[in-house]
Amino acid sequence: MTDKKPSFEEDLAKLEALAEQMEQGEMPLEKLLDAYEKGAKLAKSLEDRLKAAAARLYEVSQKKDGSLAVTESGVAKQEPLSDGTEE
Amino acid sequence: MNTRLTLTVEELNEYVRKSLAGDPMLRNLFLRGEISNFKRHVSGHLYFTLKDEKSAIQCAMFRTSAMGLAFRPENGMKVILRGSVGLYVKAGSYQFYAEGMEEEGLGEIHLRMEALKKELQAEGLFDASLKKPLPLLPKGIGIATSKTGAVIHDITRVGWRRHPGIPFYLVPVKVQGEGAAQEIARAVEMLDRLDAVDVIIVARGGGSLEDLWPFNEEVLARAIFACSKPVVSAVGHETDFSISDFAADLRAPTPSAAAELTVPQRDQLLLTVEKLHARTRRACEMALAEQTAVLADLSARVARQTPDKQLGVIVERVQGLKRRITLLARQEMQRKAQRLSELTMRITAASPKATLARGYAIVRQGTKTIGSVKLLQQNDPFTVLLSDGTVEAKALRIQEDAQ
Repeated sequence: MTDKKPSFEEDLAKLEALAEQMEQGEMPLEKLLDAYEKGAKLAKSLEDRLKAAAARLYEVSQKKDGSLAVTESGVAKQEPLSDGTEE
Repeated sequence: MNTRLTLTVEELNEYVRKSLAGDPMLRNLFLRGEISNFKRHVSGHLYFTLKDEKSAIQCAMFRTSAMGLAFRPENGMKVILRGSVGLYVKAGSYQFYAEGMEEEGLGEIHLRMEALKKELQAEGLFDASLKKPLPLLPKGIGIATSKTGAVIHDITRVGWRRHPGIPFYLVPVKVQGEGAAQEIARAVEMLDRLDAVDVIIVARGGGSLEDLWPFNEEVLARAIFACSKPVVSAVGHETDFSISDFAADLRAPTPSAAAELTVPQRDQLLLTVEKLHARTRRACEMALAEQTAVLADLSARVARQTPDKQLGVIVERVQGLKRRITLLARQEMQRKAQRLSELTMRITAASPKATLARGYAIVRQGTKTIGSVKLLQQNDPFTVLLSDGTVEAKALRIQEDAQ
């Protein structure tokens, strides 16, 4: 786990800034294509982070030595989405 | 003659009832005492005796008033009633008709709460400038609440409906009674240490002020304030504010609302990303269309057989771009790239022919067109394009023109 990895909103802000910069119409084509590639990578990374599979509920407890234990919990589970989604 | 006034029992009771009802002193008053002989009738009305050390009075509270109570009265509870004195004509007994009931000591609790609030506020625990922003897309959400009860279900159900890829990390805690505040505070501290979590919800469902008390305790407020990750409080119902609410980075009116505030709608974010990506693509397409027009112009000039010194440079650039573009995975880009490559071919292949036939040559190294001796070194191989074929050659001696 590195803290250096930019957060979702940081990357989203980068992509937005890139789009705005590209739309100014002042970038030479070369730079534009560079920017496009960079943007495509950002978009892919953002999408990947959004498309994580169904997640679970875990229970966290503290062991005697103070470290944390994480176990899957049966308290609540994701149910398959029904058509009549209630609000 | 009988001058004595003789009344029926009913007449007397009715007279006393009216007298009591007419006395403003006996209307809308507050009465303090302890509940005993408490009975809840099937009709929903409450009957009990209110007593103090020296005296007692029968009390009734009708269903419509009893329904609004925030707590369950029971024997031994010290309360303050609001209501009127009346006479139950049928039994000839006078009683207290209660319309409101509060647990005694509540006033004191409120005072304590206000004092603590003032103290913590003065210390800066509620400062708006110190509130931490919530992550747009949390990697994991920590929850400190009871393992039983509706809260954990409400949060996960709403959260997963918005984004099924969000994991929740529950630290099961006691949410009311002795030691609950310490337990919740410790849970916050544990979740703060858990790397998988980047936002924490502290929650419990509605209850009496007494039930919600742990969320008004200093130890929890300080733990929430000390937490390095943003904390959302979701305690009780919309109208109940607790000290935790003020210390938290964000207050949610209900546990479900906490899930809505912390979990983004996945589809919406996907759409946002997609739209931004489309904007970068459109910007490229527009620039490419412009460049294509320039190339068309250029190819027209070449077609008019103007030997152009810049031709090699431009061809090289176009080819460089072409290579770059074909690397791009997007279909639209590839379509555009194809258009460019067609144009490039027309320029490199068709147009110089007439020029080449007049004795000009194009010098290339690989796909690179060589327009200057500076681009070659001794013994470099290169290709010479003539009007009807190519010659593979080698640079034997290189001499640059004197400036």
